[in-house]
Amino acid sequence: MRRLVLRGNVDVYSGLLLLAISTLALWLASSLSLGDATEMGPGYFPTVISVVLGMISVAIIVRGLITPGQEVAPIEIRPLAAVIFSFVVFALLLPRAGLVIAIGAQVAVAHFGSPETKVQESVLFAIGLAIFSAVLFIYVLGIPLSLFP
Amino acid sequence: MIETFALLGHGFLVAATPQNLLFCLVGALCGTLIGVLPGLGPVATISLLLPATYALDPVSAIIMLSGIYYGAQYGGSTTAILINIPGEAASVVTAIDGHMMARQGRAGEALAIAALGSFFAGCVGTIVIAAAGPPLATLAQEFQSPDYFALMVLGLVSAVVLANGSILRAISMILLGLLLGSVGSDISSGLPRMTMGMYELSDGVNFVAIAMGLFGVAEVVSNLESKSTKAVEVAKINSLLPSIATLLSAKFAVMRGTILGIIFGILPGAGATVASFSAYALEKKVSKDPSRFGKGAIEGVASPEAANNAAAQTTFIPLLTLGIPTSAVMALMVGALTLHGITPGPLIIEKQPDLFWGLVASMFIGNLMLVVINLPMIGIWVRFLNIPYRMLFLIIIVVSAIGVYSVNNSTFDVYLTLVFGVLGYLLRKLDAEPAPLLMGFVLGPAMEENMRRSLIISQGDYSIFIQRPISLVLLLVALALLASVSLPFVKRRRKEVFVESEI
Repeated sequence: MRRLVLRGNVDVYSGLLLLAISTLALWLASSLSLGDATEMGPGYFPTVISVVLGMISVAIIVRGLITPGQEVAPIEIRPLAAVIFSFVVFALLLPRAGLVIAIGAQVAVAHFGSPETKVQESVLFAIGLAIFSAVLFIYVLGIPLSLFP
Repeated sequence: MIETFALLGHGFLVAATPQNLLFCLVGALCGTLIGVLPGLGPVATISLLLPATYALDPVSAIIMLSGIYYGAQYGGSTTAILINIPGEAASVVTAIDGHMMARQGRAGEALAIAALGSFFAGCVGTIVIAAAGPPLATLAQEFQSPDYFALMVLGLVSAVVLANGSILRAISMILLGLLLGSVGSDISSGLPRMTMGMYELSDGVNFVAIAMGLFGVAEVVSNLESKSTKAVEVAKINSLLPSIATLLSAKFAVMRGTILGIIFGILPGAGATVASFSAYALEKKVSKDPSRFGKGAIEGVASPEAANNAAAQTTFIPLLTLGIPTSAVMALMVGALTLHGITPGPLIIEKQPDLFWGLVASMFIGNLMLVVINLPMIGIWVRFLNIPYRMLFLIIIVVSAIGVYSVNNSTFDVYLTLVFGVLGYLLRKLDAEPAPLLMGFVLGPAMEENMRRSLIISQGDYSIFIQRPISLVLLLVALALLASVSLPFVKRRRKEVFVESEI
């Protein structure tokens, strides 16, 4: 099974991830008015939080670089990719091809996420889930969706 | 006192309508099922079912969702005792002596004591909610903006203290949640902010998408990585009737567990898992012969099971009286109430008596249902133990995709769920628990609002937070908590607790 192995410890990677997110947030907040403590603008709270988050992420990165820390568990590509694509396929097909085909396609893609799935079982589950979702979401909850294209 | 009984009576009228009884039963059944199934926990299940509760009236929705939570505590013990795999984190310690009893041919006895102990604890826990809820809420009505701000800080700090792993990472998860909570419209100007120009985000990030992504989807991906367990050997169940001697020796253990559970449930951040671990440790300490533990001591089953169930009830107290969720499950309850336009807080008992008293009454009914569901019907649940994950995960991803779509009829939310699913998966790989993130997200907007309001009152003077006695005390407690986890002794102890819980 194909795996993505990240060298180095969890602190470095989690710190980098958080630093990226806080930088993005700071950039988004920078266009908002800050105001002052008496009359805070929309940007005040997000700016303060992203700055503090940025500082903490740097601290986490530094800790990761100077202490041995825990290794990152390998990331297996297959289940991750299958789940991602199954959602994308579902979201793309749902408005265009209707609920039944969208669910069928989602199950078909997800089927490859585990080496233990069996074709017959997955087909049965796709049919069962399509019926269940049609009844619950379209007839009971009244979601405006078509069943077929 | 008499008033409480009158209100509780009213609650039973609410909870005993056919519709509410049905949803209480559905919740109890779902809870038992997911408690029995390893690999599907209450947090993921409640997120999955949030969209379906949208169509219900709020009282039924909350009754059902809470049923799932405390029902899972019952179901978790079944798996722990019969196959030595805890169905729930809170049943980890139950497996130690419970499974040993099963191997000695005493599975029925262990199951009966677990269920009866849980029932007793659940009822006592519910009485505590009924008794302590209203006075606490009245007290909380004295709170003003600065006090609320301080209370939320305390709630978030407790989430940090009791989170697994690195404290810095837990703090950063909370901050991340606060940032996500600030996406949407600015409270005072109503202008969109942090939306990256996406109009779908102008009402804020969809709570269901975050919860389902972080807990449902992310869990599926991690579970698919681990090899599934082969068909497991299930211990045989003989008579479900415990002997008088067993009952007598379990009696005090159940009471001790219940008291401990009640306390741990109310404490922010602790909850059912920590309660059951502490209960097991306590039993070992007070026992005359500690060497019996690990070899099938009934106290080792009775006390932790009572504790986790008592805690599962009393953890509702901070939510229903102060509006502060103390765990991921309670954060989901906030989300469920918010979907129905109800803001949890001290006014909920007064303004929504049906909701509060109906929920309390439903907890008695639900616990009674659970004993019936779990004891005479145990054979049915045992059959579910062998459902392989390759089938379960298909259900989870399809239900989460269509479910999140149904909230706003938007495919944008499906993609959003996916984004949070991948984020949640990465955070798990990086040893960062996403539960504090959810709490930050839920508390963020109210926290900002109260901070802004306080500072308007004080004209920009931050000392308002330490001038008011209530907020000063709350902030000092938060500070003390944060300082205490940095002490080497507590640090070591904290590590021990969590290392144990991972076994």
